[in-house]
Amino acid sequence: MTNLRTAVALAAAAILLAGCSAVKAYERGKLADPLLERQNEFEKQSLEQKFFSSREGSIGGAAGIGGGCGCAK
Amino acid sequence: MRTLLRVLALAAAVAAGAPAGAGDRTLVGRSAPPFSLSTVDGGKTLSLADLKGQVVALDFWASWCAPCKRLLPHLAGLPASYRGLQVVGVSVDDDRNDAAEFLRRNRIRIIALHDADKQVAERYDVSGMPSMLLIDRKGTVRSVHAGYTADDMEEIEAQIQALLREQS
Repeated sequence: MTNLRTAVALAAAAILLAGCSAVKAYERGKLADPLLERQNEFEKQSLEQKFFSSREGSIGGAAGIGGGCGCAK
Repeated sequence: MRTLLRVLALAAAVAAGAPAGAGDRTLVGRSAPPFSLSTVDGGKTLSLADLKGQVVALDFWASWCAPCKRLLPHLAGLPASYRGLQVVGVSVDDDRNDAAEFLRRNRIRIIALHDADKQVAERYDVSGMPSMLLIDRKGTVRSVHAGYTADDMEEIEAQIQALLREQS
């Protein structure tokens, strides 16, 4: 019975893995779209990040660069 | 033990089905595959054969690729320092206007070609973006740089200088 379960699991894994395919580097245009970021409010978060790094620029530690004038994105 | 053998057999089967991933480095030392592409503005057509006798930096890039956009301005500035070098950018953007817009906005002046159906990128087996190949005066691929970090430019320039010193 254990062997049967193992066989079924392996067969299922083989079928599922066969569906994986690599996207070629030069065909990733659509995948590189900012809309496909994991965060769902990309534009809002980008704006918030800009304000945050402008106000807290002297503290550092965030991903943003620059600070003070609010003009650096 | 039998289970282990089955797992190993499965892993081998999956690995066999996976892409080889050899990448474009296999081209080094071989003749650059010929191509003929239209320019990004659609005005002209250029072949690799037209550039024979010159050292060519052939860069596959796209407007959606951040490291490509960092490399391209550096490459565009090279011909001013190195006589006999041609920089050819091959855009793999779906829409040629995206490439044209980026070049125009950043005032990048290179030989800008558009690989509309990505056949040339496939022929060159582009494994990373950007992929920059250095082709010598005889048309042989001498080096391939896949991906880009700021440290790469020093090495790229050294290779260009070495290729320019070679006689055709």
